[in-house]
Amino acid sequence: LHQYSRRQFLKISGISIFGSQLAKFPLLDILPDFHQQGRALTSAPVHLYPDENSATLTRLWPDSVVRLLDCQENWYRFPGGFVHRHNIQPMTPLDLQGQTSALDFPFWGEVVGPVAVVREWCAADAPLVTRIGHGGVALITGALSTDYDEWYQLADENGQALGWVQAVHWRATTETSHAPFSLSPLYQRSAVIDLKTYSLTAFEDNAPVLRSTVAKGSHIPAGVYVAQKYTPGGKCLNINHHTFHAVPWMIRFGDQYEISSVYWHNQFGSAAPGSAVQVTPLLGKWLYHWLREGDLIQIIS
Amino acid sequence: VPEKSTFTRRQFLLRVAKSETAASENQPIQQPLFQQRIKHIPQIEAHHWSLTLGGLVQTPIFLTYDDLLGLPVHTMTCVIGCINNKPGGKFIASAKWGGVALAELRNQLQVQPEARYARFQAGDGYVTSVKLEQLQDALLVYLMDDKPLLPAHGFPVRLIVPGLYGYKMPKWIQRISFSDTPRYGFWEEQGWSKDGAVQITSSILSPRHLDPVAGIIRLSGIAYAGQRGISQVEVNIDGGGWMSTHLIAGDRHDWTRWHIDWTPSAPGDYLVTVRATDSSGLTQPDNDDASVYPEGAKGTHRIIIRAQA
Repeated sequence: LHQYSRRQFLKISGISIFGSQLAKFPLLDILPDFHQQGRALTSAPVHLYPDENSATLTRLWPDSVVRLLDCQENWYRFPGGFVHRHNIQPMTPLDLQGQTSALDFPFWGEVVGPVAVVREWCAADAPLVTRIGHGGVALITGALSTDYDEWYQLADENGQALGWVQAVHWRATTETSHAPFSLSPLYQRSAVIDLKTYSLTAFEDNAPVLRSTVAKGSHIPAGVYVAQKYTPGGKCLNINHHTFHAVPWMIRFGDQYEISSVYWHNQFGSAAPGSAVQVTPLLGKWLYHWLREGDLIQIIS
Repeated sequence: VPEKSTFTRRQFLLRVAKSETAASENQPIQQPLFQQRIKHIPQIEAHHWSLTLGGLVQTPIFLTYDDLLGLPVHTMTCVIGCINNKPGGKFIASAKWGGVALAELRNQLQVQPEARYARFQAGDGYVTSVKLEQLQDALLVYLMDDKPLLPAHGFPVRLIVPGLYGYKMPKWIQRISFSDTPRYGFWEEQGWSKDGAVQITSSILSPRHLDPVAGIIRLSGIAYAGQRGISQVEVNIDGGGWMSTHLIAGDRHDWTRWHIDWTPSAPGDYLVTVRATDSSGLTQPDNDDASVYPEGAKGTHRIIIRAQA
């Protein structure tokens, strides 16, 4: 653990809170409504207006995918009505074209469908092991084709077999296509996480290049910490007696704190049980590839 | 007591003749009535048949087939299912039954207060007993879907009791005796439930297991909980949350039909599970336990459907 004062951190990382460079670099803001599709996290009520007291028109199927038209404060509008933001996980558009190139096992795969159901063996009626939401990442250790479709064998972060999933819902992970700036590898990178405003700002030298919203989990003292890359996926977290597998893009800092990407809620901008800092899988993926071991993370709380 | 409608013998015969050509478009769910496989189906001629009702009664009754047809006719649509029916199995059906209300006959008999059971003796030697409180809505039926019973289904008379499994509804009935003690038959002696009350059951009838599907899919089926009725039917896809379906209630003793539309978000195999809740709030357990012994299957019906691009 490296503890720095805020003043020391700013000095080390070259960030000035009044930095004149701010205006020179447009920010890429990875907000939940950045996407055009959403996955229903539950059997969500669809309202006539963006108001919980307005008439309920219908309910969304859990894990169904809806087209999002816009976001008004805490409400998504889609062709059928309005759904509260907490009930929808924004997701990148579905690509149903399948893998385009042969893959060598093992490789890290991510869930591109709304959900991937993990079963004990390769059959849809095999006992359920767990469910991994959109953006989850696991180690794929093998494949098996049946008469009808292809199945992947999953493993956790330690290589322990987890179960089997239908391959159609998975793709090999790639570097995020949303990596915005990377002005120069020589620039110092750092992240400032303000838990009072639930915001994360990424800096290259003293220029902010990305700002987004986070959720605050377990307590973490204010301070400056050193980032340690941890695992792209396969992590298992127990939160409120519920086990989530294939938690993606884990970044450890200060030896005991984590930035984790979550696929099971959309409560960014507020507190949520779990890791100290929680981000969307999209932001987590970007951070994981952008932040290097030894870069600094400042926590403001 | 089921819905009452009275026919003269002439009206009855006319109705039977008409029903032979009647279309059945009003019954979109057609599930043929199953038959228990037995070696010798009794071939009973109506004019040789009689029904004796006695035991702990003030006034025993002896009825010929014509006597029976002369009594007020009651009709009801009622489900009959085999206790050996696994979740989603085909040994369950619904039919319109017509016959004499046993409750009215009990009034004529003046059944004594000590009587707690009705013993039924059938033409093939089969016997069973049913608690009197279970027989409130029972019919001694001679019509099935407006036609005389076929020998395989119990001609001339069988018992229909809403909420009981088929082995408690004997066919080819010849004698009914009211008693303070039960006399159980072949199935109860092998350990099957003595009460024979149906478990909550629900089935997916469309699409069928391993059917290829695409686009918006209408999932539909039936649910039944006997006298308790169905208050809710829910569907689950691949272990996700449960979704309530739209219910279409039938007659009081008929099954409840349900349906819901669902769109797969990606191609692949999906496990679809259905469960029902009865009016007392009891819900089918979320497991695929298909064991039927000794009280009937309690598990949920599950199918795989194959969503295509």
